[in-house]
Amino acid sequence: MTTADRSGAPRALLPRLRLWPAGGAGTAMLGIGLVMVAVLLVLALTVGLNPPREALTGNLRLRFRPPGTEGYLMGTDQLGRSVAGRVGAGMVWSLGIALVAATLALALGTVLGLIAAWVPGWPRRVIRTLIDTVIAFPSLVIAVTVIAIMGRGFWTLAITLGLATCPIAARVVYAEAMSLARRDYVVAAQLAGVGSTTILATHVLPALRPTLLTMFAFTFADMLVAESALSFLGLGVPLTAPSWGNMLSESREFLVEAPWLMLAPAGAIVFAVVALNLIGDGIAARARRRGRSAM
Amino acid sequence: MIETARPAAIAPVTAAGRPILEIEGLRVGFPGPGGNPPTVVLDGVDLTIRQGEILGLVGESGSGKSMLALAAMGLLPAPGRVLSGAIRIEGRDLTSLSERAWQQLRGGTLGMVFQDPMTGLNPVRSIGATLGESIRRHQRVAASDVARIAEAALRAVGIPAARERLSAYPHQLSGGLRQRVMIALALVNRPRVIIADEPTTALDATIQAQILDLLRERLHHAEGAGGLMITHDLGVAAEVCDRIAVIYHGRIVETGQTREVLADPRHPYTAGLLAAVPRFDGRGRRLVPIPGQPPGPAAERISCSFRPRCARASEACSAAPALSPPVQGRSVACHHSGGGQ
Amino acid sequence: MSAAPLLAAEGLSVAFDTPRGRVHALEDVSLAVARGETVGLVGESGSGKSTLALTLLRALTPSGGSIRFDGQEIGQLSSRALKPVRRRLQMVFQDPYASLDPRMTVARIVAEPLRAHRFGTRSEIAVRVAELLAAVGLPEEAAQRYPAEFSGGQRQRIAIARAIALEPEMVVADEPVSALDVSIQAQIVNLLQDIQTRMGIAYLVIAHDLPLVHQIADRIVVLYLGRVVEEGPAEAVVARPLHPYTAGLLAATPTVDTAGRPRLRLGGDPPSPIDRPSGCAFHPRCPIARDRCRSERPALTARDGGRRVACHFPGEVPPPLALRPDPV
Repeated sequence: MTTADRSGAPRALLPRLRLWPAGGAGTAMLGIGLVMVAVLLVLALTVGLNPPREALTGNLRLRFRPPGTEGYLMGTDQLGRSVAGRVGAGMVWSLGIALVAATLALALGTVLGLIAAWVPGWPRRVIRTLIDTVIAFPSLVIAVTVIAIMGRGFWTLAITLGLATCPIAARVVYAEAMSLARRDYVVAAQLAGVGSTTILATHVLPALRPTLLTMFAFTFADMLVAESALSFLGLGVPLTAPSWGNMLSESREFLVEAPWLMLAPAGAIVFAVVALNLIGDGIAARARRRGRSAM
Repeated sequence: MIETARPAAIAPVTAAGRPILEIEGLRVGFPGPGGNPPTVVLDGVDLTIRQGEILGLVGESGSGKSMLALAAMGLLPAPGRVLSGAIRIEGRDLTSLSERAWQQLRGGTLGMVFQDPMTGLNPVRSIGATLGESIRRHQRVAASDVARIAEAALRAVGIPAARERLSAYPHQLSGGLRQRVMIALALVNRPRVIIADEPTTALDATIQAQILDLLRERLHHAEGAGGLMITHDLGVAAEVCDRIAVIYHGRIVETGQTREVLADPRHPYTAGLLAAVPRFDGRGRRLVPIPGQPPGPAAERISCSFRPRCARASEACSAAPALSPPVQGRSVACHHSGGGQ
Repeated sequence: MSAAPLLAAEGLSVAFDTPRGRVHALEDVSLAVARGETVGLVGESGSGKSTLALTLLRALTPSGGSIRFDGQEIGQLSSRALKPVRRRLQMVFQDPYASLDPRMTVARIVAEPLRAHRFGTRSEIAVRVAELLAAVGLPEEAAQRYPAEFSGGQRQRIAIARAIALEPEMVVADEPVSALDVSIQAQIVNLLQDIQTRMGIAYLVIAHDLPLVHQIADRIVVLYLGRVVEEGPAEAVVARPLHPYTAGLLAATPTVDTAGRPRLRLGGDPPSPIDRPSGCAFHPRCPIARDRCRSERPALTARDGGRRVACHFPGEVPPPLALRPDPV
């Protein structure tokens, strides 16, 4: 008999990186991720906003010093600039752009998704068409096109990436809000005469919170990688700016003689992405567990 | 289209056959977190099902009735386990069976019907393939006979156009037909024991009636087999079962012939359930609810579990009553069931 | 009952557009509920009973027909114009686990309709919530707890407190006890009846449990595949059903008092509104169907004793079973 095997249905696949086993580990993941982000934040606010002189002005007599050289934790680059200092300074560019882009994508996506879910008729049709159209193009291609026209720069890049990504957020919010709209407790509120805005604020947004937080962490990580990729291609921030992507791009020429030029920014990107994924997975795991115990 | 269902002749008590499924002092528990004592969901359950009879196990959610069914099918959800006691089919104890031996038993000697037939049917296999696999696994028959046996099994449970249905997939059938297929699957290998866990709860009223008729008829016709039906609905038990056992908080509180128990309930909980259920002859009469809530499985078991909800509770009830030895097939676990009211 | 009914639906139809075409969930349904009356609505899956409830409450908009509440046509009102009606017309859902927002305290849940209708100040609302919790038999301290801390029966009490918060004139209850344990069902049924006695609320109770409906309803409406097939005083409908479907439904109900009796059985499955049988939709399952039933749809016609039935051969149906059991 093929029946009633205890194994049951296959486990739902977790999105993205699975860095931790399922179960009560959500809090641990979240904790480690938050600590890692806190480290990044402290560095960004100290080194990043106030980069040491060695990071910006080089000393040609000190080119290609390996990591550990006195005063240069991560060595120096082809112009004798401090790599550690540049990684720190790059935070403002890389993390800043990712933060602005992710915030924009989520905020706009949430508004569009909620409108599409709550206002049937033409608003829903228009937004859904828009979402499907934009999602059909890879967001990097859109970003490349816009930047080719608009030019480089912090805000251009941040806003372009945010706009190109918001349909993904909008689609997730739309789908969840549609399922929430059918919940009995939402119908009950409607039948009690509660207005749509109040229902969205009191029932729908609180229920969306774990999803939004998870999505924010993942989108942030995506944006970080996207910024690096665009800068690597020479389409990101101004070439002189010490963003992580630019550093990676420049390091290509010296890969053999000075691999640390590549490893330092790459390590920073991986560190940030892992931190954000831990946070995202942690929130998702905790929300799932709470959802189970509430039922 | 019209069928006047005839109630199957309910076998008289004296003619009951040999015991086929015996559950003795069964205790089932889930280990407590961090080495705490286990949460006991079944606390010393005794049940005997004889050949040719259907026993109805009636209880509310959390009473342990489904745990009993799962234990008897070797499907207790981890980390639950049998703490002590025995489950025997034809004298053979199952509690220490390996998973492989259970798999050989389930679908063969032990037929199972679940509330949701979709849990028992593989959605990507045709009905014929599922039935065929079960037949081949449990019977020694020629390959050419498998389809014929499968078709006969479907016909026996009243499925029209049985041959064509063999190539159908579960989602192509209605809920009622799916449950018929499930019953065919449970019966096809001539089981000794058939366990049905809330087999009609998910069905519409008219379909429920069809399935209950079928169960009553087929289970009684299944030669030498015994049936255990788990239900929360006294009416359903009354329709199908020869005997019923009422379970409350992991213990049997009353057993006996269905008619006798329903006509003259001896345990205050059984009586309470009967008074709480609307009846066609009770219009205008106010329902008498049982106060309070059923205890959760983790609730303490020091006194009689029904005491907090019982109108007849007294000092004596601080000790948990044992199930009385059967008198004319009836047993009650209540300190007040002895003399009169 | 001759006065204008509180709620009256006339020729109501509801259609949904699906990938497989337009599906008529309700067709030409007429139904009236008088003040203080309890009407029981019974039917199987696909009968449209929940759609009917949601339409009467205007959670759905009918595609045809009229709904009058206390004389006012509400069938096509905008949600803004509906707000004063909502105050007077409330609902209790089947699943008390789904109908309460798990993130809200009980106080906020019960206060929700009060706030929406500007019942009063914060402290007036708090006083009212305490009154309501007491009225449904919950302790005062329940207010600050979350739904997850309560059992199914207690949650249904919370849902009832929310439904009666604004002292509505009518409550639609969709299977209000079917998700509850047997021993708890009677508690909730009695609570609903007590509230009715105290507040004079009219109920439309949707249920599949015929003995329950028979127990609490003044009148019974039987729905089959989106149409009313029979309607009448509860006692008369159960004692002497005129429509063969009603008889079949009665006979199908497993009860402790009539178990094991020879009885009428309906074969087949309830059909889906997607492919509705011709003529009388019930004819493929009907024990007394004739040629006429296959081609001609019977109209809902008035009969003696305030009854209505949609059958070409009403009352010709065999008795479902002997209702009175032998003296045991």
